[in-house]
Amino acid sequence: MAAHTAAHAAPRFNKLALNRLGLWLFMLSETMIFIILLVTRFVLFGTGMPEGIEVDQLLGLVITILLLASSISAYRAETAMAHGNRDAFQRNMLLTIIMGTVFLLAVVAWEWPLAPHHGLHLQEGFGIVFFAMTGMHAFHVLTGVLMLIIVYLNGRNGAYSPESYWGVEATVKYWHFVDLVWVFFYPALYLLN
Amino acid sequence: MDLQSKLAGKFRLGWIVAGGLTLLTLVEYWVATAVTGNLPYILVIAILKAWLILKYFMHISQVWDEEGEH
Amino acid sequence: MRLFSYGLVRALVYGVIGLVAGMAVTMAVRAALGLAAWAAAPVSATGSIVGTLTFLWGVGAFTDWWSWARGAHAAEPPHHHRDGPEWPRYLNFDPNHRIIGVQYTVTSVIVMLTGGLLALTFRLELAQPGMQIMTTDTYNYLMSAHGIIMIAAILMGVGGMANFLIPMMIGAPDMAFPRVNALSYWIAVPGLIMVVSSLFTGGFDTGWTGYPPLGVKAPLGAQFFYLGVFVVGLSSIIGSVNYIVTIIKMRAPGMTWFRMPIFVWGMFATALIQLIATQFIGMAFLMVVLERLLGMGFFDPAKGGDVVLFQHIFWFYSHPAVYVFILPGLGVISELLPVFVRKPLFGYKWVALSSMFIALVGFLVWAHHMFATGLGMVLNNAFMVTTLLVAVPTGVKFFSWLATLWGGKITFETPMLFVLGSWVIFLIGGLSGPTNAFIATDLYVHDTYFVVAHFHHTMFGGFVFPFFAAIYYWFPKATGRMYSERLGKIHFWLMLVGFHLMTIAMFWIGLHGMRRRIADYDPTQGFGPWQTVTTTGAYLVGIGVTIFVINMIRSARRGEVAVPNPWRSMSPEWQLPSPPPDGNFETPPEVIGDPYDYGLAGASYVRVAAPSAAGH
Repeated sequence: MAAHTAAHAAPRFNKLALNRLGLWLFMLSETMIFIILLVTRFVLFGTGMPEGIEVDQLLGLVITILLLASSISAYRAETAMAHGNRDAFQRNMLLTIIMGTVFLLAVVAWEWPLAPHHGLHLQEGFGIVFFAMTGMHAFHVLTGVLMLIIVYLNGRNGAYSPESYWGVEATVKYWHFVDLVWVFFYPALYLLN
Repeated sequence: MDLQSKLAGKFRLGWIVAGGLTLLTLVEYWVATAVTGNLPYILVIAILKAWLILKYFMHISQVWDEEGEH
Repeated sequence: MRLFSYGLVRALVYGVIGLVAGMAVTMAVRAALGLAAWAAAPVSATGSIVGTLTFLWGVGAFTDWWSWARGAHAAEPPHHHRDGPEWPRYLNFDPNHRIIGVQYTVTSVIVMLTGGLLALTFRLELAQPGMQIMTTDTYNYLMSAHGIIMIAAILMGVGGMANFLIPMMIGAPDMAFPRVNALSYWIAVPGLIMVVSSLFTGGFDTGWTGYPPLGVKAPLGAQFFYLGVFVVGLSSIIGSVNYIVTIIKMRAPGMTWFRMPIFVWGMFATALIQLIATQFIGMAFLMVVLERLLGMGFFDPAKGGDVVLFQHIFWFYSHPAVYVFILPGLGVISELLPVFVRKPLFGYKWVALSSMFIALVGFLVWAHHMFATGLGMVLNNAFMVTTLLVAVPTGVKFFSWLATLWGGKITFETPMLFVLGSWVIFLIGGLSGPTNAFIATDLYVHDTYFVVAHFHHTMFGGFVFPFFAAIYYWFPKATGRMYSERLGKIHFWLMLVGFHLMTIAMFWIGLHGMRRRIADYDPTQGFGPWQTVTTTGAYLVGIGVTIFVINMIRSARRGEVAVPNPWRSMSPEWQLPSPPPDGNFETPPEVIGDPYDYGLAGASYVRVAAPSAAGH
């Protein structure tokens, strides 16, 4: 009779509360990665922008607004699921995925190849932290988009309901976290002078 | 019906927060172009933005309030 | 293919396939880009990352998540039924915390034996001045690998004690995230393999700290070392999320914070450090790997980098890490003392909070490793003061143990001997600490054998001895059998005498200027005889550990069956059958008193329902 031992555990703990705390702790730990990168940037290059670096300001502003917009649609997707509006959930989920992908492509396929023309080189100078920070962030965007796609597909097959949508909540929280990181990375890489 | 009007309220809240975030981003951009030695201003704006995201989008208060069952 | 039913075998096969496939794909991509197909560093880097993932796939770590991602309902982690023999569970991806705890512990001992063998090898070289049995390069490789392998072993040991004990001690059925918990063990295995394989891929001669620029120029082995540590770090982080959530959310009814066992307090502080600080060593090492692979000059002043930055990031983990190593051990001491003294633990609340205080102060002292780096007097002084602050909470613990021992009815079983041994060793380690903390004296003893002796005292007193105490003490709980008391005592006395021979000589020649991390020394300085004493001591420790391994294997197979509660402990885990069933408690235990009220009339800690007769 070993089966009953696992079964009695179910009602004793609020699984949702456990999951939430675990996710927050994970994000706290992840925050450290980005803090280290920010510290590296400020230790190596001070609080301004080094001479001869001209980042593409327009591109920076556009992708920042884009990531912000994807955060809003992610919020709408989660809220819609919580209130049982599946159509709005699907629509906003898809929108988030598209905007996340465009952000990723804009950084990796557009900005990176152009970076050397703005004085940003992978191996030396400000380019080191530029590529390290955008790269680490892009890696998190990539994992976020993959998870959003999984959740979107599962949601389309009816895996979530207003009573149970932890998968949606976790992925959306992670997506907001990725946006939160960019809130600090954007000024550190583009705006300081 | 009640649920859907609640949803509409939540959506409206989302737009307000989004508006705030966009406004702050534009102010940030303006500070970057117009002010030299802008680190303190930009830091304040970034923290404000982070607070908006943490509070309204990520529902950080769930960590210490045990409400919010699905 | 019966062999393939064991997760470990599958994982190794898949891992090798992944390694080769990853290398092949990288070479193909390089060829397509017009580069030379073979370049050892990038090809082996991607190969080992892919190999790590396929290793986990092979062991079955992703099975549940993969089916969840494809839309299946997330099921409760499968708990095995006990029909077959139990030992195959230890070779598989098993979500039960008790199994994972034993997996961690056995891995820790194996890794520790590996690191110990390296030490015994290069100690042989050091016993006499002049180079006798190896080249200076080989010495550097062995010495560096010894350091990091032992640290990995300690992390495994901490994971072992934490996983085995936390759920039972707080009256929970399992960890909060059992699958994640199993992942945290299995992800460490490829990491450990990578760290050890650094020896066979060229070695690294930087010491375990891996400082650039030497780390950037070191042979290929360094890359395996950096990546391996990164992966082991992932394991620590994942594990610590589990410990914290479990401790906060899953305590038994009535178990308030100040009724938790001290070991759980120690683990809570440890987990907080691991959660927040481990990223720092991971990122420091990742940045060095990026500098090696892509030429990104994070730490190269010629490219706009900064060498000292590495030291800051590195020590921001690696100093708190020593508290990760010792806090669980100190918790074990506080846990075992009252049981063998039959007296309440003196000043429970203060001991509990001292762990948290050590964790907090631990974050503010990292630059005391860098007094010789040249940070300037202001910073050096600030870090000297914070470093000396650590003595306060540590002192709280010592005086608590002293007062607990005072007037107790002490019995001297093997676990208690190890507790008392660690008490003495850690005391000497602590007292030699201020010598390193004061800037004036540190500049004199920096990079000498004095530091080596101090560090080995803190590690043996804070981790190794308590770890052996814990293994002996909870051995009946894990196996249901009793170890051999006679062999255990021989183990203890060999370790105690051997260790002190080793370190007293080290302290002495360290104060007389013997540099650490060098393969040879001037015969005219007269260090030869002392080095011989150190080597002799090291071999005594080695013999002791060998006896321990023999004892464990023999007792686990043929030891006499243990009585239910051999130590007359009040702690919840001893109210369970040995080994405990999956899910531990049939009904949640109820905490009705304080944890260490030994010897007080009518004292009771927990009420545990008797196991039903239908069960076992």
